[in-house]
Amino acid sequence: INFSILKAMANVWVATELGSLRAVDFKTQKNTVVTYDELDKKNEIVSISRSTKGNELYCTLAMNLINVFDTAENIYVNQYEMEGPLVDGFDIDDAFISCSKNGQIYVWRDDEVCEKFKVGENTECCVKSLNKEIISGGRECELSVWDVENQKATFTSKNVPRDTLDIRMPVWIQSISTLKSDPNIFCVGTHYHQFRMYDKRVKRRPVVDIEWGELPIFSLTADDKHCYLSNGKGDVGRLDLRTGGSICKYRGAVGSVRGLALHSAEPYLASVGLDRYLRVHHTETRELVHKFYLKNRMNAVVFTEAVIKEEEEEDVWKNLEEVNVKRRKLEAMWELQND
Amino acid sequence: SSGINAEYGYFIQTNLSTSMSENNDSKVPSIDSGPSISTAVNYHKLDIQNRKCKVVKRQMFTKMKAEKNKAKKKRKKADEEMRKALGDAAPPKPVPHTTESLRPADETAVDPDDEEVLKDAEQDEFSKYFNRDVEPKILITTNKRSSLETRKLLDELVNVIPNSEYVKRGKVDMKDLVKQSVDHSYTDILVINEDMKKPNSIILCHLPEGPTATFRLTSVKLKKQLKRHGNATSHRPEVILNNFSTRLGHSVGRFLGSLFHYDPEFRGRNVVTFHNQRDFIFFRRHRYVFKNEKRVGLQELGPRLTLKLRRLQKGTFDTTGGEYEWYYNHKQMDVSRRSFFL
Repeated sequence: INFSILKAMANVWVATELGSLRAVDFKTQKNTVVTYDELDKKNEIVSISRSTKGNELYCTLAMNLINVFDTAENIYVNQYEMEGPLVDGFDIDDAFISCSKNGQIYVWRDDEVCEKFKVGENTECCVKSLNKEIISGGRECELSVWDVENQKATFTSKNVPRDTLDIRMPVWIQSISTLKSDPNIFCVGTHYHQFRMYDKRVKRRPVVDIEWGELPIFSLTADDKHCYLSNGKGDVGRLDLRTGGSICKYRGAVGSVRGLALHSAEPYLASVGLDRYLRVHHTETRELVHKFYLKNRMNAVVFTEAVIKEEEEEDVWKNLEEVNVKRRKLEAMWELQND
Repeated sequence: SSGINAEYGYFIQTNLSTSMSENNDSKVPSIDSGPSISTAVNYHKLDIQNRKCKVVKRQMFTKMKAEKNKAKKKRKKADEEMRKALGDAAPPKPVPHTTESLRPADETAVDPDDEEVLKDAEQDEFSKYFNRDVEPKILITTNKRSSLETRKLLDELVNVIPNSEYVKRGKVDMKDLVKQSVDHSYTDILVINEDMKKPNSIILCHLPEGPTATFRLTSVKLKKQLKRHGNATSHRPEVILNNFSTRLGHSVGRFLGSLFHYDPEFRGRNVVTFHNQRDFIFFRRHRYVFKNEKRVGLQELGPRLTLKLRRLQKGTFDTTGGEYEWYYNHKQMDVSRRSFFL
């Protein structure tokens, strides 16, 4: 392990509405700002994703650029240009894939567009699956899983059945997430505050379909057993994937939470949103571990590999005996009286 | 049981009548000599609270108060003499605590030179107003089927805000109202909602995509309820925004300021003040006169309102599908009496 790189690495990268990337280091409690161009709303970074090779981040700007940023060197390395308001960009094997809101997907190899295909009309989210496929969904666009080489959908979900009044349920997918290890299960959060879980092997309709909160679910991440949701009000919650029941909420956020990230190894959840704060919660104890004021409204978060909690210091404090202060005082008073 | 009590440090004297001499309890009063108080110098608050006899209790309390006042006067005199003696070398007078002075420093407080805040302000939803590209044009309505009190407030608000119009609400839903206002090129909508036939809240929606702020409206006093009020002219007022220190406060202050035209008519000597204190925004309207360099005369005109921000939503009015920038959640926010958000 190259310790020099690890030490210099920030814990978290955040994308802001004004086009700046902020790196936050928990130990020194400092954050550094990196801008591609000037601080301008047209440079708004919509999402970030980590690349599979090396320390690069793909920053998708709202207009028509995807910037590749090297976190080790702290410079912008590459750039992909694509028409239309963009949704996301990530890499699969040696290809780079960029998706726009029209549903256009460009497949890039060696910085050149090799293939183009269309995924839907109003794509709101696009995510990489564990099987090296693309999952997409949007407004009146069902969840579909696309194979990159064949450019065909291997799985398309079906809408839930009509309700008791025989009205069709509208479809508006606002967030998609894959699980950590199971490539067949997808979690989806909708505009109509529904959380759905689809299993590719079982059926086309959702396996779990529950209502959570009162506002659209803007962000989702999932672990193997749990998934974490956030909505437009600032509720960040945790669901159990087996039952679909909600377990707990992570309190603190006041405005809409637009970005959630789970640390790959440790139980920490970062949330970021319109109230200009970055919050890091411990997933089990629900404790607010870190809170940073970052001045801008934020769109997305990403954790790096850096370790958050150092084991040694904690153990020392745990091993100290707890002394009950109140009891001591009472005992002293008793002694005085009885003298 | 006489002697110095180690806990409280005062001297207890037992006084018992002969008939009750077996019980060595100092709290039992004698029958013959009426209620008696021990000649203690400092009463502890708990002693007074625990005393059952109300007459004795009252006496103990007045004594305690008298002692306290005496001690305070002594301290003050000593302090005065010290200041006289030392003159300029005396230590500075201690400033009394207030809720505002005990407020913890807010990390979101806006530094006026901060580049990021300036850039954000340059490109936010009100930038067109502050760049003088767009003149504000406000639509004022009420909820459906408003009552008399709300309509009275309405009339006054239409006079306060220049370039504003009253339109009857009718049967229009909020979202349709927003759509229609955008078509008619309004820049803001102000909706007064009521509860139990009294105006209760204000929804301010900036158009075309601007934020929507919901305020709780209290302490409404119309012009005629004010003593020695003045009658306003139609001159465009100047706007004063006080104490909007945090980032959220900065946004709200800009919002409220952008309702009024950016070119006030100074000839009219009209001022509209939005004064923020402890998260309550006080709205006042005055006419001023400079009597000389140091003294100003003020005459209050028009309505008095108190607003409290409830929610700030990004985008136009959409409670089912919108994103909130700030939502008043009292479980999370009413935790400390000292911290405020604007």
